[in-house]
Amino acid sequence: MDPVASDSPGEFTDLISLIHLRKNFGETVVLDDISLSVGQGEVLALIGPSGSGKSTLLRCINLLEVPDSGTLMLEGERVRYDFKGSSWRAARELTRLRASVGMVFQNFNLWPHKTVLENITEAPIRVRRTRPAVAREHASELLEMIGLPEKRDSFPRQLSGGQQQRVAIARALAMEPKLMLFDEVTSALDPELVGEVLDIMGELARSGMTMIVVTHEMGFARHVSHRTAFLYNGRIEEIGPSPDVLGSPENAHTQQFLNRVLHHQ
Amino acid sequence: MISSIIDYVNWFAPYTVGFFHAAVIALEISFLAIVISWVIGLITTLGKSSRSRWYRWPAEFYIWFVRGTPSLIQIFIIYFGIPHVSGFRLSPFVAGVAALAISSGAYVAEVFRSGFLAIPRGQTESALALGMSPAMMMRHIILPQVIRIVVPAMTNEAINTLKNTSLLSTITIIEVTMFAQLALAETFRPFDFLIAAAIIYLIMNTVLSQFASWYERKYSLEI
Repeated sequence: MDPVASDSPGEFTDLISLIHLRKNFGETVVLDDISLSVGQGEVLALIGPSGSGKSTLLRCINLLEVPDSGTLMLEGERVRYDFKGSSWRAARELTRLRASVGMVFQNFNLWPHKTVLENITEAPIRVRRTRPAVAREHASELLEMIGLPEKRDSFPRQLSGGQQQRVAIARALAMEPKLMLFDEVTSALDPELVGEVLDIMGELARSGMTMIVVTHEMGFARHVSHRTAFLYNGRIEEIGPSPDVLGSPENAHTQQFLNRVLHHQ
Repeated sequence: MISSIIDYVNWFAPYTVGFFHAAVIALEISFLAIVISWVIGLITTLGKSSRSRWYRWPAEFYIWFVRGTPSLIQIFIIYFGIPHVSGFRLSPFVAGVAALAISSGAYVAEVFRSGFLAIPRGQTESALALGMSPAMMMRHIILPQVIRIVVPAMTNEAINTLKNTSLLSTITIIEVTMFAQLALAETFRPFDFLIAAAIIYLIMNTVLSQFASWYERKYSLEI
């Protein structure tokens, strides 16, 4: 794999910034004062033990979870999330944000009653109001890209887990997002299917897509992501260029975590 | 032997037209009641899962009341009771449709609710994450899946509604049961007319459940 990770993080202009973000679930502090910026074209890997808040952090970025406090900036503009109730302004703001932030989930979450093609074209047609013919054209290109052009009329249940996850990536890309969020996207896959999904993510990274990737695949973090952040108890305990964080971690918790993970791989 | 069959057919023939009209009435009433019960059921189940108690309490009260009282009492309340206190009189047909729809809607609501509970959370999240509004997501992603899940239970409920049209004989609607009663009162041959009525219900329900299983096969989410 091409080590894009050697690029220094300094050259990116900020696409998304979180400033003093906090999130509690009841009494439990899940995110404790998170500040983080990700630049245009940058790939950031989020690692850490389970329950450290990685997924919640990712879900706060597209407001599937609403932060308790803190600032969320997208392209230098503040994203509002403090709407009371469900006003149409809140809905419009949410749509604006989510349409430019794609997300891929651990369990694919394809829609079982729609074909592969319909899964990909549904959101562009309904949310972006793209003409169906144009959306289908774009979907065909995406299917070509993920290597599944022959599956366009299949239903998700007829695909392997790896194929489903590739379709889920295409579905998110169909909205032409500026940022892609990956939430442990290979964790539910059989080991032999992990590679095909990681390959597509690597390709996407090389094409200049901005990505935040929650992962347990240390190889991916090391070779594809520019920077790696280590989360522990809702805090970013260490962040830096991936080779540094993964190769010579300074934080004791990071060292402990990496020891445990790497010795089991 | 053959002549006795011919005699029997000749004797019964005059009643077939009446039975036919009675069956049409039963079908009209149940069709309307079933469609309305879906609307009532869907609204009720959305109300019941609402965070606001102003939606939740009426929905819960409705389900509690309807499931806890006999359909016959509900029919009487609507046809005899309400005009008595309000002076507003419904025709037997309208009262019958309303009573059966209200009576079935509570069960339909619970069926819908089980369908909604069967949809994994991830289905909602992936739709929202792509920028869909809750209404869009409900209409294009969630409901189509819920409907596929609830078809068997909904068929049961539709069959119940169809059979419950027999209760409307008590409010002067000449549906199948009422017609059988009228015919047997005239001829004193209960067995023939009750069997005829039973056969008519069987035919209607068989067609209904065949249609439902065809629909279920066509839109099945299984392989």
